[in-house]
Amino acid sequence: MNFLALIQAAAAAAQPTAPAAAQATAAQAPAAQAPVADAAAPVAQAAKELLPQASTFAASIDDSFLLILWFAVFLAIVVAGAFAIMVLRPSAGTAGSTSRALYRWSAVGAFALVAVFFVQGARVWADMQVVPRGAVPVRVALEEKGWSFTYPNGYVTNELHLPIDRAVKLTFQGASEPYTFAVPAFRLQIAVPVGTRRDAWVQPTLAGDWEVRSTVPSLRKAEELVAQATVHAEGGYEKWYQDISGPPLDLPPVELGQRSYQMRGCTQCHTVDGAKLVGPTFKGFLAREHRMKDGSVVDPSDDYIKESILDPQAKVVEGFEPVMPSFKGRLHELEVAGLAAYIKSLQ
Amino acid sequence: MNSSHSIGSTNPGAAAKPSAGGELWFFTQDHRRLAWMYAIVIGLSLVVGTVLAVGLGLQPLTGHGTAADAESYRRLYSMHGLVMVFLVALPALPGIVGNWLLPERLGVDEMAWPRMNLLAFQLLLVGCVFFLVAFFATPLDTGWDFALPYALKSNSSVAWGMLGIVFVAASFATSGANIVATVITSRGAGRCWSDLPFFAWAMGAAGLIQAIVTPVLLAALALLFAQREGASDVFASSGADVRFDQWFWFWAHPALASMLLAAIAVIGDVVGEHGDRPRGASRASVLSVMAITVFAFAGWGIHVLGRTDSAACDAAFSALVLASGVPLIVLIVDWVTTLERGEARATTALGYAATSVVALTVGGMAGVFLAVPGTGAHLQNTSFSTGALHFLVVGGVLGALLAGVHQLWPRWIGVAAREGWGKFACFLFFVGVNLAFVPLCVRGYLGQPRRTLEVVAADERLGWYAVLGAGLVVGALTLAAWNLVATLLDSRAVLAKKEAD
Repeated sequence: MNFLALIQAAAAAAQPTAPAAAQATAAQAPAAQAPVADAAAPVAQAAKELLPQASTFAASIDDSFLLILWFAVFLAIVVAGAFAIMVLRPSAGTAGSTSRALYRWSAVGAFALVAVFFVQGARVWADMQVVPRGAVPVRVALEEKGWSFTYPNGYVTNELHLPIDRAVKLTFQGASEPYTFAVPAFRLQIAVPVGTRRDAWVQPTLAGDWEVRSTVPSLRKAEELVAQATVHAEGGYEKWYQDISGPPLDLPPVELGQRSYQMRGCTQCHTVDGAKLVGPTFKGFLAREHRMKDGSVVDPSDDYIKESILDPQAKVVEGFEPVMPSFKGRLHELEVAGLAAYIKSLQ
Repeated sequence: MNSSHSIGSTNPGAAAKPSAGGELWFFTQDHRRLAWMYAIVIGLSLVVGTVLAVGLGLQPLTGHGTAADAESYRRLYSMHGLVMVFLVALPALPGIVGNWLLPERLGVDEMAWPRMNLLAFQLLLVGCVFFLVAFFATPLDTGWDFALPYALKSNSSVAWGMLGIVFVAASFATSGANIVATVITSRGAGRCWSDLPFFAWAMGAAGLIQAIVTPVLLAALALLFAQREGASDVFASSGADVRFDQWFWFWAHPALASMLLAAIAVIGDVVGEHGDRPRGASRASVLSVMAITVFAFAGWGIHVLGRTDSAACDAAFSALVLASGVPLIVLIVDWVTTLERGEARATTALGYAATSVVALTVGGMAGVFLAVPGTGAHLQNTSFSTGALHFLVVGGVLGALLAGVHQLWPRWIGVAAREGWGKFACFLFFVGVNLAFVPLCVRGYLGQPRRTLEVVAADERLGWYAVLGAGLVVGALTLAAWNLVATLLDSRAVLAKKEAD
């Protein structure tokens, strides 16, 4: 950590306007672009249109990139031009040895440039290493069926939801094969070697949907390596999080089940008034016969309800299609028990 | 084919050599004949690697989506990398230009150990045979760098590929040791270190690196093989992929540097011939070569940037790799001032040398992007790194090879290649290299992962530009080859006429 502090101190000395990691915001991004020459503005603008700057890191990394890019273009033109001039000029130069001073200053100049590149890049990199306090924690893993993102309330989904202008701590769990968590719009790529755990953070600054991808070559299907990161506009993440958090778990079971039924999207397919939607109604659950597609009949027990919620394809009711998604990992076990109690209470 | 002595009769060193007339080419220890044989094997490998590259470039634009497409793409890029790295990029300059030119530049008749020189070539041939087996059995699909953990469970010809590399690597080590020995033993009788030509310094440094680091590659492959066969579990625990990459890049990073040093040797020689310093070496250029050699051994960790828990190590490796750009800048200054003091003519050889210097500059700067921690983390595993590597290998190494061959051609066959066609091919090569690999870098910055069929960033136009550029490179290589072969055929008539006269 001392080393990182050293880097940050050096960067701060080199660039007094550099924002501290935790306070970096989208509003500060223009200040960080100061080193880029005015002539670079059209290129920088075009680059932003091709790849939006959607995190606090993006502007700094683009600055670093453009600084090196302009020097690379300049150097390539100078080298090509020098060779061309040497063969096209009318007469030869003066014989003799090259001044030592020319070599010395070339080396000093090159070293100074390299140092500037290093400090410019190390500044944002050092910021990336230190997770700010109070960051929203999200656990990330690339599992057998694709990405999984686990939120503080235990809710698991295959889409990453992020608040705008708030730091998010991403904790990566290594799998049996290496993967990277790459979001080009954030200029963020975290490598997760086999079986290791890594921490990183990001602070989104632009609402929208951004692509998450693992860039490590893999035998998996391409779609399993891709996910979507949704950055919610102001207040959107809080609403989404409230929705997925479900009801308070200390409610009586039937009431908890009823709230879960309303908040977890069950109403889209199952009614409590006997009407038929995509799935069977819950009305009269205990009273009616439960005949399955394969002809078998099951008892309307707690276990059957629990199985239908967590592994809905295991038993499919006659007359309905197996379209229900699994809620495994998305509901607290008290919610599942509450739903069972609520469904059985409906006469 | 004539013996090298008859077709290379303009070479002043040739007359001093014993006749090799009745000797079978395959068993020759003559460094010039070996240079010819390297040229044939490497030329054929270049054709194979280029055909695979054309397939690679076209496949994402013509068909993707099925598992079979993805599998054939993996096999294409793996075999392309294997052939181009191990049979073209690494052996080309020491094998062809080094073999021919090093004794001549040092003023000796032969390499220090002629038998080892032959052995190195024969080991390369054996490696070729195993690569062919790997190609025709079940083509390798792990990438040329044997990425873990897939290399442990792949059902392709991993073992054959590894066996081929063992022989090819042994060839590099043998050849490298021979080059170093030739440089060292050529001194004496009034010649001291400061009298050594630049070509010997740079080619000697390349040979030294190959001789030292190759055992590490062999050890890494042995461990990988043992793990595949269940005899070891060194790559079984967490972080195994990073551990293997540390082993592999401990060899590969210096090996790539040795390839660039060989290119630098040839560029320096061509520039010296066109400037005011034929065969000479300035103190600054020698120190630069030494610095690049030292940095080459210290930069492997940049290939696991951000994959270890040590921020200090990441920063140290980043600083070391960036620092290796300083001596390259000094060398460029040295070349330009050398040309400035001479009466440089616009020859094909100098054109390729300039193309190579520009490509090394662009590729080197692309390496800066990858080595700077902030941008490097964003660009790892993207097509940016593929573009950077190709600038160095195709533009830098292949450009230097063409420069060296065009420079040596009159001494090889007695007749120079046609300058007009040569310059036109050189122009196509320059445009093609930049048109092919700049789009790769741009797409990488926009997030396009490397080694995937899916086009996920920017629009497909960039892909078409890259294919067009690659087409120009192929066209330029074909034109250059035709020009060289045509003059080779012409030279027989010219020499016969001279003898008749």
